[in-house]
Amino acid sequence: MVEFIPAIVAALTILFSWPVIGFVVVGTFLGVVFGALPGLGGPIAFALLIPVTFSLDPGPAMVLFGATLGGVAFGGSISAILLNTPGTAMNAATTFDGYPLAKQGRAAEALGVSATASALGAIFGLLILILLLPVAEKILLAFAPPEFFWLAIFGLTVIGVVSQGNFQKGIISGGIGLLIAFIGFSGVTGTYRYGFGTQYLWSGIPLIPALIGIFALAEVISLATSGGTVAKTGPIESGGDVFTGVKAVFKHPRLFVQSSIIGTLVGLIPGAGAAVATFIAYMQAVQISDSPETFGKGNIEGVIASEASNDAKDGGALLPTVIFGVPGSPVMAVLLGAFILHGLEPGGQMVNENLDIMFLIIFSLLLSNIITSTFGLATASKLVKITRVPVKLLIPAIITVSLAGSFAIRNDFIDVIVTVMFGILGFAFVQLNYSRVAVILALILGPLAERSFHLSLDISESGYLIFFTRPISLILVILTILSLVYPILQTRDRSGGTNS
Amino acid sequence: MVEKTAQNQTRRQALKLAGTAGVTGLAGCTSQLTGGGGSYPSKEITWIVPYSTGGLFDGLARLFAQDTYLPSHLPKDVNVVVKNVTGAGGRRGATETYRAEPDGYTIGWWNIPGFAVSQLMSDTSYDVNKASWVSRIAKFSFTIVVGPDSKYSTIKDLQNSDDPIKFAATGFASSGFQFAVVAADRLGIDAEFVTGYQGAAEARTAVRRGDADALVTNAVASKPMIQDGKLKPVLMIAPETPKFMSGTENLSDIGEESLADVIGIHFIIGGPPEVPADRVQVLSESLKKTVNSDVFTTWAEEKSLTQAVAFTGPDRTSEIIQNTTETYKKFIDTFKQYRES
Repeated sequence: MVEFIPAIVAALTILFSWPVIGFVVVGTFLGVVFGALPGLGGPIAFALLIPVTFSLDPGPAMVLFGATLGGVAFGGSISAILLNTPGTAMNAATTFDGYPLAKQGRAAEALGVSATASALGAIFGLLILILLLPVAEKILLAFAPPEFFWLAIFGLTVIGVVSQGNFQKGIISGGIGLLIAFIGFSGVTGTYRYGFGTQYLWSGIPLIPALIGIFALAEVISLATSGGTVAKTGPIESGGDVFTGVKAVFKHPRLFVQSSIIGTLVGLIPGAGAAVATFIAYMQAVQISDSPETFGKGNIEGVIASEASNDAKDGGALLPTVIFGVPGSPVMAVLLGAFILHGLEPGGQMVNENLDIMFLIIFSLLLSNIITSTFGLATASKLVKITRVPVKLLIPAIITVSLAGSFAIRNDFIDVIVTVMFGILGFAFVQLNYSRVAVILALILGPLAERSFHLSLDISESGYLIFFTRPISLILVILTILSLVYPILQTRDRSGGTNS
Repeated sequence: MVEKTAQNQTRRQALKLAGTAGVTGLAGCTSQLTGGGGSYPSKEITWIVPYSTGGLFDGLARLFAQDTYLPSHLPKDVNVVVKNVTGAGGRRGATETYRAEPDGYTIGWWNIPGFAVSQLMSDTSYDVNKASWVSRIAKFSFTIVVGPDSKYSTIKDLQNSDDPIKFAATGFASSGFQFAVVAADRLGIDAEFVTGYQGAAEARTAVRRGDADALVTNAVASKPMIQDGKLKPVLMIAPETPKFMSGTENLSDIGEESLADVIGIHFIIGGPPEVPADRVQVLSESLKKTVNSDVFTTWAEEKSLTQAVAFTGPDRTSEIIQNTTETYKKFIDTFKQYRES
């Protein structure tokens, strides 16, 4: 650790100089805006920044990227909480309890949690990143296709959690998600499935347009049928107390630390899918809670878990990106492109010659999270007014932003049609009480499970035994079983207690 | 008499004016059609990138679109605008380029041999034999690498192995897989393929971890792992070995120089069919000036990409595409066999 000190000092010197410190503020603001607007998010923000940074030295350029990354996560939380519209797939878990809180007139409280847990989660994730640097490579190499397979299956067990009280419907939702997930060309089997010969479906159903449709548009249809405002009850003026949300994070230290650890570790594993981190953290929060039945109905613990893990995962995802040149998440893939274009080489050169650049990214990410959280806390009471706006005014705005966001991803009008179709599907799910989250989970994790399954068999010299003979795989199998069994045991305990 | 003379003069002036206007108009129309006379380009040029933002294709296009790059070398002051059109492994973008108006105002990146092989393997909405080829900007060579603890150290080891060599690849439609099949065939390596990795970086990690024995991968992209000793290069698929891989055999060492023409990704710029030849020439010359400019050569040196820069004009570019297509025609059945097995 001592060998890092000169690089840390050099990085801080650059960071707190002008105009670099200005880049932190600009990047943060950009990140929040892009994170909040459905369909945009980190990858598009980064891509737009790349040409802007051509004329900058690598250090200031990376500060801009780091700061933008810090703003994106919180930006996505704003729309997730206030409008049930996750800005990115990583914010989907925040909608589970964040939006119900908004409907109860406690949006400010949820935003307070988000702002606090985000900043602290990011700090935690980055600290873990620095501590893990010496052993990072061992962790990275320990995860092979069998581990990815079980990680995906473990992630899918969250379906059981989010469909509490209606497991069958949850399974059906997940099944529908898996069916949709397998549309497209499979690199493993070399077959083009259910694409009807079109070019559009070659890469499968695009995730973000589907996400926007199933959450944002479905919500718009629901709001249109219910009328009134988003917030149905609760304090008329303030939308709750933001500092109640801040204090809530400190009142649940174990949950916060657990969620941050999950976020960092899962973020560390390239290919696992950054959204998995938030779903697993949420699931763990449900399982350790004294009142799991309240999750999904506005339990502040759910927001703590998803927000802490969402921001901690960025620290985790940075590590394989910077050290090995293996992107830990979609936005990291764009960052890697930026590295190449700025003449930065991940790996040994980064550690030996550009460690100050790596710390610049880390510190700008940290500072950006502090700025966004301060911004969030300062403006929460203003932001929550959205939940008091009559829906007839909100609906056109949400529709416009959602459809524009869908189009902006690939400049493809068919993406907009996908959004509309998923909007209708999502509304049907809401009316029939099927889990939309289960669909999205399956959409994200299905391809990872399939790909990892086939790859495992391809590399195996012991056939199917490869899934059960590796230590980390075995741990994940046990966690999966526990994850399925624990809620049943909990329910039986509570029933037994009630009977006696 | 005087009046008639005056009338005649007026009529002559009018005729002169009309004639001048007519000739000017005709010249204008003609130059619109042929691009001659310096009227091209007169509006912004769209550069279609068939991949998402952040990759090398995208980054290079955005670099060239900057004012001090391509726009400053075009005959007229117009903007170059990058448009990402993603999907279907890049074929959507290629299709959009192919279907654009053949007026020289839409160009696009073509990944060769990738898009050529796609056309040979299945129906595509474009035909590489008909597109208007402008220039090749760069060619990224590939290398065969093995894990750091691998028992294989040279190409001969791979050729003489008793067991099949497992090559990692992202997918059956990927360049990595196609290059590995061609390389294995031409070099006499008994190969199997492990496909499905999500990206080249993951495939490199897989070889590093020992999931597979070898990988055919972009040399520049693998440089960090090679320099750190996390991957061992066995063969540089180019006539020369770059400095960071010194000591590694190359195609000249093993007498297989011709393999360089078919393995490696050509970053080619092309337009729809029947773009007027003089407009293609204007574009090509402007691109050549950009590639040879101080600002670009300095940038390429700083990013260690100088070796990849390989400008060719329209004719040589067409030749590259023809050669590539002819070579890969012979492998299509092999690709399909692996896919179906």
